[in-house]
Amino acid sequence: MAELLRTEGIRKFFGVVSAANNVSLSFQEGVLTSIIGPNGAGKTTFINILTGHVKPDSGKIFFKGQDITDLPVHSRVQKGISRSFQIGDIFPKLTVKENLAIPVIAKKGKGMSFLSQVEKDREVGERVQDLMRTVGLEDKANMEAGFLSHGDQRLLEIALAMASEPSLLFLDEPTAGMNPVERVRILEQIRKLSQDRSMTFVIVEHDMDIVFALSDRIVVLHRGAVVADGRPQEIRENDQVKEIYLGEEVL
Amino acid sequence: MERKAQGYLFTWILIAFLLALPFFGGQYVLYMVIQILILSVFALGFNLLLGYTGLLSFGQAGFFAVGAYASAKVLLVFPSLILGVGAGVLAGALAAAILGVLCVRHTRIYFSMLTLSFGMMIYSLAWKWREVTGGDDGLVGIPRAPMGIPGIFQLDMSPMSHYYYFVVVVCLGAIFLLRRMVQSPFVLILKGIRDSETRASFAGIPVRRYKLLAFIVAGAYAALAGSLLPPLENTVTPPIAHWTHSAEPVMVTLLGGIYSFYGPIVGSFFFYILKDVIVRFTQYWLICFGAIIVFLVLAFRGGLVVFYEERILPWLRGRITKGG
Amino acid sequence: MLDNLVFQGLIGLSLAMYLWLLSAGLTLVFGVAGILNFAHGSLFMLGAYFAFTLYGKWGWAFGPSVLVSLIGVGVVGAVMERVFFRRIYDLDLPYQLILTFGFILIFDDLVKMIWGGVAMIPPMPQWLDGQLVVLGRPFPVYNIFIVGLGVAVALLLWIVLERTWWGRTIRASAHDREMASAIGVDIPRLFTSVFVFAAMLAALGGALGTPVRVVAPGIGTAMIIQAFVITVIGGLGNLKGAFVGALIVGVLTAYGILLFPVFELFIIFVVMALVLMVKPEGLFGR
Repeated sequence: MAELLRTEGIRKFFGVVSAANNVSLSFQEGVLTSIIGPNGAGKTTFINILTGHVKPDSGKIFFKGQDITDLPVHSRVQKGISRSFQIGDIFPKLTVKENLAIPVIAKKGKGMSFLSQVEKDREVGERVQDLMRTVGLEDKANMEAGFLSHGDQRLLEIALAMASEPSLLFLDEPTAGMNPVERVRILEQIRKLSQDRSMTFVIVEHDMDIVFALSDRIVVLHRGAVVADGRPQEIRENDQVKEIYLGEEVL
Repeated sequence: MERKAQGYLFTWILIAFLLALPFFGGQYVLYMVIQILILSVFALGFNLLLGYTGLLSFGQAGFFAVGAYASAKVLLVFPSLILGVGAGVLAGALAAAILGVLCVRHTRIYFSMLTLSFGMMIYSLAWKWREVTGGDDGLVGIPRAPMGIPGIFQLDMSPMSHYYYFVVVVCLGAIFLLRRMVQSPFVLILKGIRDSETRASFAGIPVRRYKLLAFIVAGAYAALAGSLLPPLENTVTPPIAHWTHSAEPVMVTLLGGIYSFYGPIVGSFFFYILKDVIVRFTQYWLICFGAIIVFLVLAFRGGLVVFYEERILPWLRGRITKGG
Repeated sequence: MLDNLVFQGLIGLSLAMYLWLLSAGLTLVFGVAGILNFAHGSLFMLGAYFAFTLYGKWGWAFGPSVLVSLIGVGVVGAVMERVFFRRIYDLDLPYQLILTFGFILIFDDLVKMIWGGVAMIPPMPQWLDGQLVVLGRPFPVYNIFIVGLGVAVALLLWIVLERTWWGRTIRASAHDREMASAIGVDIPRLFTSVFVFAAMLAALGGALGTPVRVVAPGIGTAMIIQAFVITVIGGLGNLKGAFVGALIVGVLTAYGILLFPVFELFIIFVVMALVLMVKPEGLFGR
């Protein structure tokens, strides 16, 4: 199985707090990985570093064999890395259709077109329809994204991340704020896409039911360092991990 | 559907009116409409940055001036209107490209501060660089050159009505071009950048590049507007680069409506009427100007277009259905 | 040649102090309330006009003139903040900037209406008149006074921010407004007090400038452009950066006037461009 992403010795300090402490991880294609850990463990920071939103103090990142440590965000996206945000980040004044059109247009390289009309582009339109159907937002296509319910915004958020056709997709707490129906739907989609091998997912989650149901592999972070890394069963039986979650009836 | 047809009808009526105006309007009316059209083009470029990209530029007058001075310098040497206007637009686009590289790499606040500063830098150049710009006397004797292609045809522009038609054609062309552009993928991406730069870069968009392009288009439009001025007035002086002139597209767009395409045009029209009235009563129109801006921000942010859509249209529809 | 340069540098230092007084307030208000007040230069201008009226036209002594003009502009600042700015804290950035921009227009015409549009040059207070011979050239005592005062204000600001309760509250609120509010800080009143303080700093700059600088409509805007350059160089919200930035801009402007007149504004911008290319957040920016 091909290695998609590899990090070597990632370090990041915010003042004296170590948000990432010598993290060296490797992500394989097709392996659905969950990253878990108590609050403040550095999970979001790690994703920020991998996607280029934050610069590490030291360390290197390789994607499909290429050194991407110094690449800006949009270049990494173009190479096939994408993410959704913990605090939903969408285009609030644009309709759902327009929201999704943007990453699709970027992916298809049609952004520098000044005189053609977006409405009339069939290629873009079909892909947008497709995405809306995947997350179940077709009936809200013309609604302004800012007016969507919180759960729908999270769905849109995930669809936006998928729209860039990434090989590696980071989802930061994807189901936060969703009602059970939406949650089931999105998890089914993630499982299906992961099995199709079309996308490799790395998910940050707090809901342990989801983590253990979906993941092929679990990575546990604590205070910025990797504390455990393995199959769900191994993690469940890991004493150190149990200690970290002591007092939290999650496992 | 019915609304779109309404829109088309209104547009064609307006165009017919503009074309017919010289037959019943005097010189002063033509002059005023030319000024309104020039300001509309100026403000539309400004709003591409503000309403569509979320960038507030307080220095657009700088590019207006670049267009005006460039066109004037060319006209003084080669009396060809097309050449003059063309040179103005190119000069403006070039200036915007150079200054834009510095301005767009920063946060929105820095951007606004930098544009104000650069605009005034251009003003200070216009004012002090006597050898090139004529200093505070400016450039004079600029001909209202004929429009034509050498060897093929030549149209005399000295009658006001002829120049009026030239301005109408050029401005309407620019407006339609921009109208088409705002439906393009490029502007959709600008809107995305306006709503969330982070999200846009995570969608794979090189945000800085798009901001720079928008800045260049806005600069070109400002310069186009500026280049139409010298043949009209036969002079160019530094005040057109001053920040108080940069305030005009700001106010006009706010008045008409920032988040509407036609806002700047509607605002330009009402602004001219307003200014015409105010100036008859007092020389202190800057304070009126400023007070109107403050009032609009505090109480009337949507502008006239939104006011029309949310208050007048439903009321009109109500009247019609009642009577019908 | 060298002593020419040193001399001009000293002139630049005193210019820097006016710029410092203006920029300090600008960056303070931004750091605490998050508002970039485009009309901050107008407060500087009002300070000059008030002082001129009291001192130049009504014959008051210089010291009291400056003091009263500080209070006057402080009142104006309080009204501005309470009545207008308080309503825009929650608005989108463009609306905030446009509103403060609108105030520049209002103030420029207002001073024309009240004082006329002519530039005025007031007389020099006797106890500060005179020259000191520096490097074989007469150097106005007044400039030395200004430099001394500017440094004193910088020290005062430092003490206020580090040692007083008000200063610490300001720094806490600048750092985390929600937290400050949660522990009981009256945020609205704090904002007003910061705004008034900043207005008075600007007014001090304007008032102190009256004996040596022209008092005319538009002097505020000319200064605010330079203040913007200073805050961009120094980093928005950073007082140390504002002080250093003011020194740089003041001295460079003086040299520009000496060596490249016509283009002195250009030099400032080139320097700013260079700083931004190397450090986009400003020299001391976050």
